[in-house]
Amino acid sequence: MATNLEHLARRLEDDPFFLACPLKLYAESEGLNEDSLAAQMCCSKEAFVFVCLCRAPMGGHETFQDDIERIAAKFSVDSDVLAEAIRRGQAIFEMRRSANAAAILMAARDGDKKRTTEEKGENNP
Amino acid sequence: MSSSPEFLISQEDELALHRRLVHGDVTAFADLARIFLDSLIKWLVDSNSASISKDLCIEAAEDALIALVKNPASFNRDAGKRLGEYLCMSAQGDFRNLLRKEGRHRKKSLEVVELSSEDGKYLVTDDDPSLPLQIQEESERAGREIIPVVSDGLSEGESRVLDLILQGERKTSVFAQALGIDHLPKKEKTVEVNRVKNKIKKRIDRRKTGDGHES
Repeated sequence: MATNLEHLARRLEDDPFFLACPLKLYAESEGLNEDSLAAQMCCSKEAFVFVCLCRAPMGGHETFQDDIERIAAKFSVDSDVLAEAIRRGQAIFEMRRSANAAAILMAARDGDKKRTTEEKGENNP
Repeated sequence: MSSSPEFLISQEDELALHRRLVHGDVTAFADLARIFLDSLIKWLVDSNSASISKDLCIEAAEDALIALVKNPASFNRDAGKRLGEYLCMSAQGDFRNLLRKEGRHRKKSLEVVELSSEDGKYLVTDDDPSLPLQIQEESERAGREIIPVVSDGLSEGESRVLDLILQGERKTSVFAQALGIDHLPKKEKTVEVNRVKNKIKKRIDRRKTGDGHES
């Protein structure tokens, strides 16, 4: 049975504010499950849950690296694997969001176009 | 020491933890959740009617912790209130809002053990609206910049693979279909799919680190 902390970590998988989100996307892109990603990061499953609960580093390169080192040191995880996973996961998230926004915009434009055509049709019987 | 959330750690430690939240320490929320989540859920379960689903208590406790990390200033450390006490009140407020939202709010079954004189003051569930918006805008801007560079020069099939990666697809057969190599033997299909996926992943990784070199 999942612990409360595991439940919370799962809930945060869609929220880019937390590491659970990019880590899940990275795992998906590599075809990994939680256990295998934890193994890749050289940490226990318990430590992995705490990593997922961390706030996602958002700053520039230097701050990002500082944050990675802080998380890696606190939960004894491989900082290189962690950094790669977060970078890839965040990039996929950003691309997905952008692709979704573009799709919505396209749909809205299609709607406008359709309405305009219909209006024209009404005005020119 | 009581297991009540109000007294799990000393006031000094609570203030230090809150300071870390305010300063954006990336590991602070993990500590906040480790210290408070279980007892906050238990407190909500014990404080409310047994007929109420435990899932709602879990959700409300989680809401309270998430709201605090996204808006740490909502806890006024100078007011003299303990952080644990604040979280209880916040979680109770979230709990009531959830009940109301689900249309299951029944006044009689809500038997709060400890009704504070400030009851209702913390009935705020919405996170600081400006912060997620800021992150969203930043994220969308970054996405707009990344996609054209990553997809530049990709073949039609490779572009379809990129779309599938973005959709979270994991099946090799689907990727093979997108690449038009469905007819190949399984081993060759897997090798080719992995080659294309790795090529795209490398491009994504390079754009994120700001290293524009292409192999």
